[in-house]
Amino acid sequence: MELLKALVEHRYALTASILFVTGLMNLMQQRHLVRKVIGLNIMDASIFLLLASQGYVEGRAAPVVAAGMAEQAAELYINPVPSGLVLTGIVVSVSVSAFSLALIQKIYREYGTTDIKELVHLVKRED
Amino acid sequence: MGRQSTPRKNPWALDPSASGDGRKRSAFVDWVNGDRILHLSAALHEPRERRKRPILVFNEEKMAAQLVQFFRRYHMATTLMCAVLLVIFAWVVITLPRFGDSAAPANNELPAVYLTEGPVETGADNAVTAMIFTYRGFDTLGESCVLFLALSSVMMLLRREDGSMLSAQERTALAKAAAAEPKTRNYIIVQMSRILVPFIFLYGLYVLLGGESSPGGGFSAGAILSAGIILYRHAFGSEATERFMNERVFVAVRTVGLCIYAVLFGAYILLPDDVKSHLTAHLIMPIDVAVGMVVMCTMYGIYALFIRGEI
Repeated sequence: MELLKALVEHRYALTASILFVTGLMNLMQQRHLVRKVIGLNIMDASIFLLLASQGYVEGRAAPVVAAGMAEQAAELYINPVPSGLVLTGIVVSVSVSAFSLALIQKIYREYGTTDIKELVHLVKRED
Repeated sequence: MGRQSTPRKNPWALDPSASGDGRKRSAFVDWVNGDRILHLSAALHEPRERRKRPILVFNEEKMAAQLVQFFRRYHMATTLMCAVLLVIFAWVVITLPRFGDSAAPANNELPAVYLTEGPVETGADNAVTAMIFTYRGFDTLGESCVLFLALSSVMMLLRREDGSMLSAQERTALAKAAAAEPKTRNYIIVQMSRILVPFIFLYGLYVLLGGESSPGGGFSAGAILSAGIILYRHAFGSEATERFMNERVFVAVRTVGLCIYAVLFGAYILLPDDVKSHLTAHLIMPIDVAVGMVVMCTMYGIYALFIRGEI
């Protein structure tokens, strides 16, 4: 019961870890390269969820400071640092996805397949 | 090396002559002690008469079987690993501070300073915008560079300079794709874009320019604006888009955007404090717009490169 309560209290972090493992499994077990990239994106999303949930503070508003509220802002608004970190993460995630998809397109033009098993086969035969 | 004994099938087999003191020791112990080097590729170094059978013949069936074996074990191993990882994560997660806890270690004096000093020092009410463009400006500059480099590498990979770079197969595929492009566009998409695209641009500009005092900023605005351009291109074709977004504009905007950011932020760092305090309030908006331009060009550029191989 204690454990269940603890898990419910940390539901966002728990969801993030489940998503992370889902993405990791997708990344490792899918044979199609595009699906691997999708797995990577699921992992990214889990990290963003974890970071964003760590920045939230019960009963406080989004960090857009209203006029004249600057003095007591620390008690009124949530933590802006994780939001900034998530922004960085999203940009890097987009860049990595674009780059890997471009690589996959290149691989497809070269070998005519994006299936990892067939690729291993073809590369071994080339050696 | 120093060991010229007969080739062994099993590299870990017991070798009575392995140790100097005559005692029988396992090859593994010798290997751990460093007295012995394993010849795992012994088959390749066997004497000539033993090399009658061809060694490097490509055996497709055997290799396929090996691959099947590997992937079967691989699936089991990865599943097990992920299960263990999930248990570890769950264990760690319940030791984290409670969700929404104001006493969590992450809510220390740093966000308090960003929230109370930020609006005063930078003139931006949005604490996130104030933070990422001034206090953490280097980080955001690096981010813009990451986007720039990502687009450059995608360009290197996908760009078709001219017809001579293409194989005949690719050229026919390209011609086929051009022929398949419908002469009459989808009526619903065209009519909807006619209504939607102006509003998307308006909203993008609002998010871009309102990033100082409301949720938004360069990154989200750039994404919205590029979505508008992508929709426009889908509806009206690449010729119509090239009237305002051809390659020259594209390269100019994304390079100039990054340069503006670098120069402004360099000025922000290097200027003396008394000048800086006057400037900071005016710096966020140009930096914001520059980032928005870089992001817009990157997103649209990636789309265009994937669709057609050129901007």
